[in-house]
Amino acid sequence: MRRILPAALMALWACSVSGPEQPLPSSVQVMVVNPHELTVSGPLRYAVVWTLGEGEGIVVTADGSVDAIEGLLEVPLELPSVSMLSDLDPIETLAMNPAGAGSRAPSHRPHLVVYSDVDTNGLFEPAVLGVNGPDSVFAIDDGRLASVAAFLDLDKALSRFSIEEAGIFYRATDGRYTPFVRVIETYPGFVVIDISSSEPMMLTLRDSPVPEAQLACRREYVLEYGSGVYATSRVALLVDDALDAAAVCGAAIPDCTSVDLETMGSPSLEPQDTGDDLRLIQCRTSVHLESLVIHEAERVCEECVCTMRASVQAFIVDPALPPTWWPCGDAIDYCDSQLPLYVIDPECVPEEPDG
Amino acid sequence: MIAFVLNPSQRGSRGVVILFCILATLLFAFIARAQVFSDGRDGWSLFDEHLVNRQLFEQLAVDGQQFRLGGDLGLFAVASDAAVGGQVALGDNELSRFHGYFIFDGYVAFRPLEGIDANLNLTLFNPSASDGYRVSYEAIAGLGLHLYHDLFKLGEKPLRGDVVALDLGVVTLGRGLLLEQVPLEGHMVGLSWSGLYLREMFAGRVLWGDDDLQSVALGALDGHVEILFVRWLTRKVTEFPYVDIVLPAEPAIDSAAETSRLESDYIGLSFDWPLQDTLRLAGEYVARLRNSSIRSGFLLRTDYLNPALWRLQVHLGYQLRYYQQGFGPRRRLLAPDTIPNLPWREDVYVTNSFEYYGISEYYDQWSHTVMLELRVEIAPWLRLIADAEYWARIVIDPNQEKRVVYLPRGGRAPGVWHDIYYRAGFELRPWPDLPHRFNAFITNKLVASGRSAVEPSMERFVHDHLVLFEIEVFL
Repeated sequence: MRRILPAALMALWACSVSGPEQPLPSSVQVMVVNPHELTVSGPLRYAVVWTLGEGEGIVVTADGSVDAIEGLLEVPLELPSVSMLSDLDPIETLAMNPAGAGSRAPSHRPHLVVYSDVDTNGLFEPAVLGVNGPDSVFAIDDGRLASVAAFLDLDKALSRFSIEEAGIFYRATDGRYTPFVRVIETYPGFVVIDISSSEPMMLTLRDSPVPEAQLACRREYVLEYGSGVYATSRVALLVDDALDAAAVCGAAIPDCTSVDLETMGSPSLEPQDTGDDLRLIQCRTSVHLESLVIHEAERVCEECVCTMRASVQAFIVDPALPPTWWPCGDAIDYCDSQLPLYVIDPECVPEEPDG
Repeated sequence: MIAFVLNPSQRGSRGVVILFCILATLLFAFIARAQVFSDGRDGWSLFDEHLVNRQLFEQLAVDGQQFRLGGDLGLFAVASDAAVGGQVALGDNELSRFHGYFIFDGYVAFRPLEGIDANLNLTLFNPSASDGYRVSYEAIAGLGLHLYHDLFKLGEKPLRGDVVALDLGVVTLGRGLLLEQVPLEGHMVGLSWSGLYLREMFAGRVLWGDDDLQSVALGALDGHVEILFVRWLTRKVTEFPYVDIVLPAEPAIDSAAETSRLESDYIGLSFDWPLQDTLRLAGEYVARLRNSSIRSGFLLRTDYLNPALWRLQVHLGYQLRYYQQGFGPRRRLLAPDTIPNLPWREDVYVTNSFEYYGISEYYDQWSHTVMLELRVEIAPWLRLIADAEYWARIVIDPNQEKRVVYLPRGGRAPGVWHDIYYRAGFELRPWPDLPHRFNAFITNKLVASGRSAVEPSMERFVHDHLVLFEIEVFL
C-alpha cells in the first residue's frame, strides 16, 4: 500500500501534465441555400472531399444525406488516414494572423460539396478528378468567402506559432485541440484564418458547371468572367415575311430567316438571371422596323476559366403590321437606344436591387 | 493577515502569542541597508545591485559606495557606471544583440533643499559595434522628482510623506509574485510612520503595450509584512502586436465591462521573515478576484546569503511559485513584452512572473527554482564567479480538452521542463579597494533585445552559450 499510493499519484500527475496525443475531430455548420429554386432529380447529399495529386483521385471523410433542399447541416470533420496526408494536394501555408503576417504552417482545405447522388449508391463519385462517376455537384464552398482548412501536423504547426498566434488558433477552434479552422482566401493562394465568422458556412445550390470546375481545379482559382450581358457570340434574325429579309439582314448577318411570325407564335418572354443563366428581353423600334430581342447566356467552364457564352435571337417586324402576340409597346416597353436593333442595350437592362 | 499566518481563530490565544513573538522578531531583525523609498531591487542575491534614480545622496553614502567621486557635491550628487563589452560565440551559438557594446549609466541628483530631489538618469549605449560607427547609439533618460517631508509627529515619531514621479526605477510588488524588478514610469505616493507604511502607485505600460497598473500597499514592520491591492488595467480590444488590425473583443467578465478597459483585481498578503542575518523566509499569496471566483497564486522563497564566509560570498536560494489558471491579467493567450532591454537585466533571475503570464489563461503553472551564486576571492585582485539558476516548470491544463501551446525557445505546454542558466568566470580588480574590474564569463543568460533596446521584446533572455568580456568602471 505504501508503494501504491505514491505510484498512483505519480501516474495521475503524469497524465494530467501530458498533452493530447491525437488531434480531435471537429464539425462545421453549413447552411444550404437554394435562391434559384432548383429542383434536383436524385437524392441530395453532402461530402467532405480531400483532393490528392494529379490523377490520384479523392478521399471522402464524410458523406451524408441532405434532408431538405434548404437548411442547416452539421458536417463532421476528421483527417484522412495518416498514410494519405502526404498525398494531399494542394498543400497551402495557412497564416494565423488575419492580416497574413507572422507564422504560417502547411494545411489542406477539403472541399465541402452538395451533390446529386445520381446512381443512388450513397457515395460521392464526381465526373472529375479521375473518378469519372455520374454524380453532379450542385454546391461547393467558395474559398474566397469561406472554407475549412486542416493543419496536417497540428503539433508541428503550433510549435511554429507564437503565444498570440496560438491564442488566435484556439479562439478559432473554440479552445479545442483540433486541426480544423475556418479560413478565407484573401487573394489567390493566400489563405488566412478567419476568426470573425460565427455564422454557418453558406453553400449555394447552382445549376452550373462552376461547382464541378472548382472541384476539378483543386482550389486553383476558378475565374468567372462576365455577367453575360455583353457576351454575344451568335446572332440570329427572324424576319417577318411581310418584310424583305435580305434587305433587313444584308450581308452582315448571315443567320437570317424569313418566317411568318403570326403563325410561329410568341416565344417565351420570361426573363431569367441566376448568375449562370441569363435571359433578357428587350423591344426596340425605328422608323421602319421594330425588334424583339431575346438575349440568352449560359456559363461555360474550360480549364478553370468560366465565361458566359451568349446568343441573340431577334424578331423583326413592320411596325404597321406586327403579329397579334407582339408584346412591344404593350407588355414590354421600348428601349430608346442608338445601338443596332438586334443588340441588347445594357443601358436598358434593369439593375438588380441591392441585397 | 493574521488568519493567513497562523489562523488564530482555530488555535486560540496560543496562536496570538506566537504571532506576537514572530512579529517582534521581525521588527528587530531588520537587515540594515540603504533606505530607498519603495525599493524594488532584490537585496537577497549576489547579483550587482544597480543604482536607483532617487535618493542618490543616501545610496552613495553607504559602505561600499563611498569611493564614488561625486557622492556629495553640496547641492548635487553624481555617479556613473560605465561598461564596454564584447562576446565570442561557442560552436553554433549566436551572439546576442549586445555583443560589442558600451553602456554609460549616469545619475545626477539635485537637492536644492531638504525635501526636494530632482534626479536625472541618462543611459547612453550602443549595443553593437558591428552596425557601423555610432550607428546604433541610443540615449534614454528618466527624470524622477522626489518630494519628501516629515509632515508631523505621532507620538515621538514623524509621519513622513513621499511622492515620486515619473521615473520609478525597478518596481517589485509584494515579494515578486505579481511583478518583480520591472522598470516603470508613473507615480508613487507614500506615508510612513514607525515601521508602518501606506503606498499608492500608478504605473503605465507594465508588461503589455496597453496596460496600466494601480496598487496600494499597506506594510508593517518596515515592510516585513505587507497587504497589497492591485488593479491591473488592460484594454478590452487589443491590436495584434505587429499588424494594424483589431481582433474581436476579449470576452467580458460581466455586463459592466462594456468599456474599453478591463480590470483585473488582486489582493495579496506577503511576509519577509529574517530568521537570522543570513537566512530569510519570504512568502506571498495573491488572489485574483475573477468573475465571482478566486484564482490564486503563491510564492515561497528562502534565501541564505552570506557575504563574508571566510574568502567566500555565497547565496543559496529556493523559490516555489504557483500561478493558477486564469491568474494573469489577460483573458486570452497574450505574451507580455518588456522594455528597455539592457544588460542590467542579467542581474535579475530568469524566474520571474513575466514568464508565467503569457499562457496563464489556459494553464496551471508550478515551478521550483534553485539559485546559487558564489564569489571566491582567490587574491585581493581576483575573484572567481559562479552563478547558477535551475528552473523546473510544470504546466498543467486543468481543462478536459487539453490544448497545446509552445513557448518561446521550445517549451511545450502542457508539460514539464527543466532549464539551467549559468554564468562562470572571473573578475579581475586591478585596484583591490575599488570596484573597477575586468570580467570574463561564460554564460547562457544574456539580455534579449531587438535592434533597438526600446523595441518591445517578448523574450527577456537569450540562452546561447557565449563568452563575455567586460570592463566596468564605477565613478
